[in-house]
Amino acid sequence: MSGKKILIVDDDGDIRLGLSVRLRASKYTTVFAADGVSAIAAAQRERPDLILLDLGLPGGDGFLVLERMGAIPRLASIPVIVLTARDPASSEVKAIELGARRFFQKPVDNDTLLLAIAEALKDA
Amino acid sequence: MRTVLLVEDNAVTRKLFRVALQGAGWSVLEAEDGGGALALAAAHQPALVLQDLRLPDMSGFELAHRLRELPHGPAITIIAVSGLLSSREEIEFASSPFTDFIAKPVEPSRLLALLEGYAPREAPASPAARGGQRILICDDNPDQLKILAYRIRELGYVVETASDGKDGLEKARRTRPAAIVSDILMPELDGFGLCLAIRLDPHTAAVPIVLASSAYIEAADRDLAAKVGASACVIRTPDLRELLDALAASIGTDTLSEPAMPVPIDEVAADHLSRVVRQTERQAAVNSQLARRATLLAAELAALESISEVLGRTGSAGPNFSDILGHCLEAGGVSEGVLYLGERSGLPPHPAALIGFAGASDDDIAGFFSHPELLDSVLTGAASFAIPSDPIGPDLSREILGRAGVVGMVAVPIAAQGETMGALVMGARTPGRDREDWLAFARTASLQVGQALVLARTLRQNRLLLDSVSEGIWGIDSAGIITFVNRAGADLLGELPAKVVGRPLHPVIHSRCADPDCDLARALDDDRKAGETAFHLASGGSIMVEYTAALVREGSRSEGKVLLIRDVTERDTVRKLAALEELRRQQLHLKDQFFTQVSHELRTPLAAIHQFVSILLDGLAGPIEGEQRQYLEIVSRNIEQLRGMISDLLESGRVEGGRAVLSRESVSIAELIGHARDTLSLSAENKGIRLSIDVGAAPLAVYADVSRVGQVLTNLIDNALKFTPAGGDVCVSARAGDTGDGSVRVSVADNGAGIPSEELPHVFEYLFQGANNAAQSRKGFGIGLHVCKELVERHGGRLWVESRPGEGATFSFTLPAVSAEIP
Repeated sequence: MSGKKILIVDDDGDIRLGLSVRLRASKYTTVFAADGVSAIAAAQRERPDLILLDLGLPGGDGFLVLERMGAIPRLASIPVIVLTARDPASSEVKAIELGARRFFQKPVDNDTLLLAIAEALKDA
Repeated sequence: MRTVLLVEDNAVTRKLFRVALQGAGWSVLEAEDGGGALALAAAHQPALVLQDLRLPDMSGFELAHRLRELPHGPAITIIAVSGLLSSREEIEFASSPFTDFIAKPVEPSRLLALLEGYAPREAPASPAARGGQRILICDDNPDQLKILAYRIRELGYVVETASDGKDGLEKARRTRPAAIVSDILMPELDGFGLCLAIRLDPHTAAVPIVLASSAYIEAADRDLAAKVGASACVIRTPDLRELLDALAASIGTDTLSEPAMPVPIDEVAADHLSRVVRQTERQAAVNSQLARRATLLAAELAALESISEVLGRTGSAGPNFSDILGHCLEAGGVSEGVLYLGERSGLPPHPAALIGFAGASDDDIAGFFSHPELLDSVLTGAASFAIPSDPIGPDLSREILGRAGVVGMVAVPIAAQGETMGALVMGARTPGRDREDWLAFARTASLQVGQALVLARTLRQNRLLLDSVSEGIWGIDSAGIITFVNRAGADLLGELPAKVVGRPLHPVIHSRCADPDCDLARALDDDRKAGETAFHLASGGSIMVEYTAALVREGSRSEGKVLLIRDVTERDTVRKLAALEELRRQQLHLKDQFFTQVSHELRTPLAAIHQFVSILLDGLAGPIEGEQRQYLEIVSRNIEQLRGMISDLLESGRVEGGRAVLSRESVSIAELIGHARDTLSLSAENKGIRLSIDVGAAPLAVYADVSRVGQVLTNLIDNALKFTPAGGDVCVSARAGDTGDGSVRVSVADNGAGIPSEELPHVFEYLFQGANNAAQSRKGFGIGLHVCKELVERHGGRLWVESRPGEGATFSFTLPAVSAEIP
């Protein structure tokens, strides 16, 4: 697992930093994007092994990012885990339908998240 | 248009006259008393006044005198409407201020014919022809003097007046008029004396003199008049025709250079004296008879009016015929009477009221003393009869009077609007009644009764119509007093019409409103206004009504208003409920949005706090020691609590907003309880609480949303752990429900502090915070149990609690069996 690159997409800098510290402790490499457009660009540029995606984003929300990446063959295979403050009741089904592997509501238990990441990378 | 002033205090009679007069093209002014009549006469100067003899505020005679005093008073034709005057007495009326009289009962055709005769005449064709000729009029009655002066002046003469014979003689000597008109009976010097004096004075000997008398004139009177040199001796009729003709004729003989030389006065003295005495006697007799008749009339009319009053009290049951008959008898001064009512269908008349005739049997009364044909003749021929009388004959008269036990009877038809409705029969036990007078009175009374019956029938029809209307109809007079209310109108307030009529409107419909000038009162005061308002019920409630207020006008005069009222409480309630429902929906939506947004916005910073605290605790940012770790763990624990509360918040919004869609399946309750136990066993262990499960031996399946029931179980167990001290027990059990329909009952019991009895009814309420709760380390929003109850009820189950303070609490809920059909 170590050395895998994870793209963290979140408009909140504190969240990006926290996740980064947590992931780097588990030997992942992290890259960042703070909005929808940069997320697509970063995914094209960085070719991450996995994307942690927030839904509420400026410049195209998380659903749009999922939709675009699904349409780009080289990006479509990158597993995406949605990590959002939104109510799963209204967002989870849609996110999964658009290709997200997993859906977690913030704040998420770190062990749960790390386990999900590991599983997603293993499947990929 | 020709105008007539109608002065009559009996509304029924007034109406009768008004309708007849208006139909004939008269403009009718109406007054119900003398004061009103004088005001109207002064303002409108009617040419004709038709007045009742008995008025509430003054006598008819007084009114007539005061009418004559008006500037145009002498020109007014004043006709008295009275009853029971003989033709002899008509003459007496001529010396009163009245121009004429008409006896009751007054048929419209007779009234109109009479009035036509008095319709204002055209001005004389050539008044100039008589221009300048001076006429001296002598009369001691100022009213008669005024009328005569007016009429003669109208013919183009110059008029001079004298108040008695002596005054007349002086004026005649001074001015030598073209002619003299003199009353015969005058103080100081009577008409004969005046005439003689004029003839004996060479200066005036040639002046023609017309003598007039209001009383009878006998041949001897004319002889005397001729002897004293009068040109003519005439009766003064109301229209003055004979007098004026005589006057014109006497002046026309302007060649009267050789007047008849009067016989010397000593020769005529004895004759003169006897004539004057006779005239005086006759006048006195007429006067005394008039006074008696007037008194009698006043009493009779007063009694007749009460018939109309009886009618005014007519209730829904119709007129009280006994009352009406009673008033007729009282007015007529007799003690026995029957009021027969005939059917229009031709059925025999039946006695509707009976007074007296104590000796007669029911058959006697019903069959008119074995002679029903007499009664039939009254009903079919509309003819009257008296007993005894020539048409009836002495034998038949004796027979009927014997059966009836009276000495005299009269029977008259009761008719109105061209229809004979019945007969009025009156009987007297004592003799001494003038038959014609009595018949005339009976006709007058029957006219009143007929009018009363017609009016009662009309009123009854109107009431039936109005009572059949489902809308409330209220009549309000100009003072704001309720004068009428139909059945629906009274029903609206839950009152009887009789309890409402006569009261002011505002306190009746707005009993709890202290402001008599409130919006409703003002709205109802408008000319025409429709709207909705609340009426207060006597019983304490209110109803919503839709009303329309319209002014009731008669001509240009407002007679009050009529209110149409419909109860729209139901419609209003439905509308209010719909509006409330819509408001509730909007509020729920807003609340839902609010909860979603709050929960979302809180989660992001919480996630950051959570992440960094866990980074610190996990030593990812360097080692942390002892007390630092302890404090970070406190932070971490509180973050968990915060997270739970945010979840509750969101959940509550979701359940309340109806968004918690259940995804049901058949599932083992033991399995669900097991999951919940797994989630919380560590927590129980940490608190030192035994968490046990008892699901019995038989497998129990429920039809439920796994995650929702899991949420309920977790919440209830978590609560139990929270309120149970270390060393306590929490037991989760499941059993088949009592109802025997396969439902399952799940209970979570603890042996903790329990719930105070006063809080028990409230624990499931939204946002409820128990007093004890505040002392607990972990606080909540008071949402958890409320959400649990909602979720259980959405499953078709029931959630309840049993507790005794100090002995723990047991929360139980039921879930439907697999087989149950849940809508």
